[in-house]
Amino acid sequence: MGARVIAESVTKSYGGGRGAAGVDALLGVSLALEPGSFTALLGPSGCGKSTLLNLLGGLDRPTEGRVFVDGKDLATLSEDDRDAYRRKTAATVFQFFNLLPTMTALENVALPLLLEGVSLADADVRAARGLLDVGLADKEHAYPYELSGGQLQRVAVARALANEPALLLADEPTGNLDSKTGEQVLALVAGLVKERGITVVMATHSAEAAAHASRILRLRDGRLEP
Amino acid sequence: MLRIAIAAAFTLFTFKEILASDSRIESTKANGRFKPLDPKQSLSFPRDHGSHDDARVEWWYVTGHLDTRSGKRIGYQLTFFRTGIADEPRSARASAFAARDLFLAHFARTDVQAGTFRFAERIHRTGVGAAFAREDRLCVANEDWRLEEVGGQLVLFASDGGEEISLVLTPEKPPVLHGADGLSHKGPESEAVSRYVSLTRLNSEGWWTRGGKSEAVTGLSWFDHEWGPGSIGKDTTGWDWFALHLLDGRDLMLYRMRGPAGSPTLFSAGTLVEKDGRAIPIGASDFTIEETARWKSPASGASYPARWVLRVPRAGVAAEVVPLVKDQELVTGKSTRVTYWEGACDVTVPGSSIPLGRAYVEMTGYAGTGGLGAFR
Amino acid sequence: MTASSPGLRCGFRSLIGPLVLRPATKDRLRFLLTVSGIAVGVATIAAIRLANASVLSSFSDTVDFVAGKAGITVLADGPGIPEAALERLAWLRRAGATLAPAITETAAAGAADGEVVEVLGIDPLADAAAREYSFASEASDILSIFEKDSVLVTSVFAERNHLHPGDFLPLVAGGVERRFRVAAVLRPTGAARAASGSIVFMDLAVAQEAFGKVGRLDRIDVVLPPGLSGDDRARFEEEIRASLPPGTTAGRPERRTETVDRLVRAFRVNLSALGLIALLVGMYFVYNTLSISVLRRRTDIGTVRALGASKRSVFAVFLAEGLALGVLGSAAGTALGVALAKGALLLVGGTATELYLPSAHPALHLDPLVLLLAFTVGVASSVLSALAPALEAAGVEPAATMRHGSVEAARRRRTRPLALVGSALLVLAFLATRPGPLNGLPLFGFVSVFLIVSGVSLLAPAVVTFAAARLDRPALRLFGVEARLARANLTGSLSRTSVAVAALTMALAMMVSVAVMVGSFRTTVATWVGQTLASDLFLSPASGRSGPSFGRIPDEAIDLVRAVPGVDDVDPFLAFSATRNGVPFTVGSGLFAFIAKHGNLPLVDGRDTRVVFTEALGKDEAMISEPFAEKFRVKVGELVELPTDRGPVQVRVAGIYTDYSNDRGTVTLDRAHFQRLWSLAGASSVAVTLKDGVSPEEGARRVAAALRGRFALRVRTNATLRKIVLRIFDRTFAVTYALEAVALAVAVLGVFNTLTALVLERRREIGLLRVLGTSAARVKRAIRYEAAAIGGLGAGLGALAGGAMSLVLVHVINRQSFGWTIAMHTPWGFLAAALGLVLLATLAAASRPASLAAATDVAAALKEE
Repeated sequence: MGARVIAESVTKSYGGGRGAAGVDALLGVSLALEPGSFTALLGPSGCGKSTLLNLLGGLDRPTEGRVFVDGKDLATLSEDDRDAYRRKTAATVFQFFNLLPTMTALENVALPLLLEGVSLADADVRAARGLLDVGLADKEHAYPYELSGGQLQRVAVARALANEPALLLADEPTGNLDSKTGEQVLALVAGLVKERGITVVMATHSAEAAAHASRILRLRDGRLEP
Repeated sequence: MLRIAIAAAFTLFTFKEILASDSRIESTKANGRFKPLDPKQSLSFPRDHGSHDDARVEWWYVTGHLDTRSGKRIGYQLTFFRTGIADEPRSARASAFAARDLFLAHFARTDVQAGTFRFAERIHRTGVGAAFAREDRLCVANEDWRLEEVGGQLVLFASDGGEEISLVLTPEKPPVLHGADGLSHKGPESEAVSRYVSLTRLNSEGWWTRGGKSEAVTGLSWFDHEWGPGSIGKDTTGWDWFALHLLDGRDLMLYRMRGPAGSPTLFSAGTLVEKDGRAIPIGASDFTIEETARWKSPASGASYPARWVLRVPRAGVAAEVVPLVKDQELVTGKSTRVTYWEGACDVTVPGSSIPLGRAYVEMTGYAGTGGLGAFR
Repeated sequence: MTASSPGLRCGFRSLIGPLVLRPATKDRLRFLLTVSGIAVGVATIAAIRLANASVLSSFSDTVDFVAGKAGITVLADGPGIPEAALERLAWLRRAGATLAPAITETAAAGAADGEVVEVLGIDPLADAAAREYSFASEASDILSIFEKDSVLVTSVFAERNHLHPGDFLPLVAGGVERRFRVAAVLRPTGAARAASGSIVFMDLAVAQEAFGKVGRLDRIDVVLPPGLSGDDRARFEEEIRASLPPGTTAGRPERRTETVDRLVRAFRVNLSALGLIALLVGMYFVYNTLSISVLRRRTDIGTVRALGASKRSVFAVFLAEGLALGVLGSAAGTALGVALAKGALLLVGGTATELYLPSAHPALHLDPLVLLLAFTVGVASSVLSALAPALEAAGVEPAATMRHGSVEAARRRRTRPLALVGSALLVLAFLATRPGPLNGLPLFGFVSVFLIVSGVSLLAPAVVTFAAARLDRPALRLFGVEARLARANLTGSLSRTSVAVAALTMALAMMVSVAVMVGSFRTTVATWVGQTLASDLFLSPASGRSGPSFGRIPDEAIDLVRAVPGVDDVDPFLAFSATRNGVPFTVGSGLFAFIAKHGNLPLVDGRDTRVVFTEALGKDEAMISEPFAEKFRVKVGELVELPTDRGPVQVRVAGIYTDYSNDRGTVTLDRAHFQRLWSLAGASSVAVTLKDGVSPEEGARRVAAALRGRFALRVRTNATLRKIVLRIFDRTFAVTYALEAVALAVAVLGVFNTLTALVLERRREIGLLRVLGTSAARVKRAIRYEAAAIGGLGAGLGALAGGAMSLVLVHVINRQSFGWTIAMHTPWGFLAAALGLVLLATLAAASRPASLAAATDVAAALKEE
């Protein structure tokens, strides 16, 4: 079941402190995402997309405002709970894939499972199934440097989905892929999340990519455009 | 004193330090090694030409005039000193190096034609293979310098700087005992006495080598041997000693002991040895020495008499003694650290050049405090 | 770099800022670590060399000061030169030379346990030509120095002991105390500078009498006439040799230094080898730092190359960085080395003087050449270590954005060839154990050790890869996912982790091998001591502060002991030093009947000691020690020539006994036989057996009581002596432990350095892990596991390499340099503790990098790229 995400007047400033004026990356953003929805955050570079994703992913805390995921205020989570939140609830896919270069595709996908305490045998089986789901059953033992960009991103998707998260955060997932490959990966992701009812938030500057979403929010200079 | 001088032999030490060491040798232990001379003891030769271990000081002097076939004249002096420094019996020490004695030696020669005078000195302590003086007969050595009695003859060898003298000396007269039975008094103190024995006329034959060339030499030498406690009297400042070989076959020895003012003391004496070997003692009042010239040493700055007229009326001797080379001064650095004049002289009829014989003269005590002779 | 190329110069200048200086100021910690790493290496080298040079220069100074102006020195090749030799050399005086005979001795000053001094007995008259003296105080009575109780002391010694002229100074030698009177004090010039002033002078005769050397001399210094040509000198030397009695040698005084040098050479070579290993570890530091520099700045390098920087200028920049690190580190290391040298001097000096020159108080001698050498070695090895990384930097293609992983993949492909070369080196290492010593030194043995170290180091990447592949799943099951993270890092940064493993391997191999060698040696010696020290009491001359005894116990003392009630039997051991082809050895004597009765000297070939000694006694044959047999390649039944008082005598060897008490080698004869060949009396030491029912303590009390007031002998019971033997043994090897500790510390520091660098480099990966929900604690744990893996692999490889090296040390190096057979004995407990300690140390080294990793700012880390 997908997550319900609610952001209330979220502001994030960098620098500043001690009275000095900081730089506002987000200014009073409010939004509500239904479980299983696919939302695209559309906007140019530096508009605050990544900042918003970091806040939703529990990597960062808002300067003002609150973020609720399934009714829980992320700001109130302990450090351990936030780690668990990232492991189980909110998974991320990055523009630069961010696979661990020293692990095989299978090991990369198995990592979140192992981190979650799944036994090695189960983790291997589930990771293999994950790779099968993204169409890379034959690349289990390949290292990241042996894979193409599209393949890398598919492994990253498999890794993100390994722990059956409720929320998938995608940060420019096609930004580093040619448009055809990007299209294929997005189609794959869209299919997979639909099947599992996962809530998706995808930051992108490409209207083409945003077309895969069910809802498009435009972000400019840290504010949601009406 | 000789002892001071000899102690100075220590190349390790400065003269000042040596002077400070003087006092300790004065006392003679009751059961020590050194004994006063026993006047009653008679001498026997050749044994008494050898070393006397119970005498603190002893020396053997050979001086002589030599002629080469080519007419060159050489004067030479070879002296061996022994001074006892350990007043303990030989059995007290086990080591052959135990320093009972210091052995010093001087070797000087005068080249009359060239007008040159050279000397060398050596010093050793009791030890192995360096210097010794035998007690059973005359045999003294300092390194390769050597004087030894062999079958009534004396064999002599000395070398320095490529110059060598190798001689066989044959006595023409028996040993002469100076003073009363060879007891020669030098001052009023009881210990200021020594045994003094000479072989006054030694026919000399041998080789003189210089610059790798050897020449046969002949001539006459004089051997003196003296031993005793080593004192020469408190007030003595020096002496002048004359040994004359006269052409008439007589030999004359005279010494003048000088007092504080340089005047002769009562202990001046001499001996006239007749052609047949008879020795006639000469008392202080029996002779006069008249100085007729002076010479100032450029090396030590000392002023020495440089010509004398000797008169012994009793013996009918009137002789002028003339140094063959003016500078025959030994300024010894390494061994005795004394400065003295010892040289070859001619003897003539006073005021003329008519030869009467040849002589050796020794003068000590002219070069200041540091230059005192063997006896004072 | 060539100054003629303006492009290069310009490129070099513009590159040094962005590529070297700015990163260096940013990575201050790693920069400091690298500099300090080189500094430690250089300091170790400098300290060892300085200490070594100081000890040696104190030896050679003493030799020089004692030899003085002598052109040729005649020495005894046996118990002493018969003094008649002076007569045979008398011709030299006529040739214008001066002969300065002397007695040399060692004594304890003040009391039996006092300061050890050299004693030089001289002839003050002859000596002025040979040696220089100058009085600090005026002697009150100069002739008194000839008296039988006079000594001259140096002002250094006088001040230290508050002595003034006229004071009494007891000297103890050969168990006999003699009272001397200070006749004068000498200024510290000339001969008075020998032994750093710990020398007293006395008259030759006084010395002969005081030290039982009447009739003998220890040396004759010949001062040749001035202005001799080399040929003349040689002729003199020749003729002097011809006129010498048997048992004497003549040579230039320098040859004496050579002999001393030879004595300490084995010792020095061993130390230098250990120092070199320390430097290897230091070089590893530079390599490590620069490799990481290059890897981290790959993109920058690519960028500047794209902007037009030439390959050569990039190469020059990194070489310059190596040079700069080398200069900084070496400068710091040289300074540190001087400070360390004082400590090292105590160790080295302690060991060397323990063995060879008891009176030495070596002062630290700051030889600028040694300092320059250490500095140069440091800089040169830094530049050398920088070569490979610099070449690699130069190889970076313009604007390369190669991923780290692919670089590592290229590295990984090199693993196999490296492993092949490593294996080949190990084979060579084995082959190098076959040849015998070269010029008396076990050079091939050292080569073998070096090959083992290098071979195993080259195998490290393969071992790391292999272990990571094999251990991944079991470790994951056992330790959880962090083990996999650690494994991934380990193989992912193979180039760095395997170098860290290799460095640890080297240090550990050294530690393990030396520990096994020393342990084996110690056990062997302990067993041997147990067998050999069968007697109840041991008497030796009281020997001063520094340990080894000197001088001879007089026969009267031995007789006195024999007559003590309760004493059963007495075995006097008498020895002196001789040389054979310029190599020193010992001629000793004991009562063969005593040994035959007690059977306490095990033979190498396992024959019955009782039988062999009884036969040897009957046939006037000799027994030789194992080191002698080994050094001079002598076998049972062969003849050995000995320089006796009667000229050279051939003696047949009846057997070879084990002896760990000295490495010089000993020929032992029965006492009666010995005394027929040399007129020597007394004993160097005396073994005493007691009658049944007399306890060692009681016996020792009785013997001590009998000797009291007459002889200053040390009476030790069997148990005490055993303890002392092992204590001396431990002290001798103290220096090796110190060096090991240094190398190990450097290696552990290397682990710290590597991990820190890796953490900094992997910020992005760590950030990713955190995004994936890995807790900070787990990240920390992963780093710790990685450290443990490095430590564990290093320890494992080190233990294996160390095992192999210890075999080489024990069976090749030790045997060839000292001639001892050592039974292998592994000190398991010590090794386990040491390896455990290393693991703990590596883990401790990981704690800061781990915290650094845990503190990674996730969002910021992910933003990088």
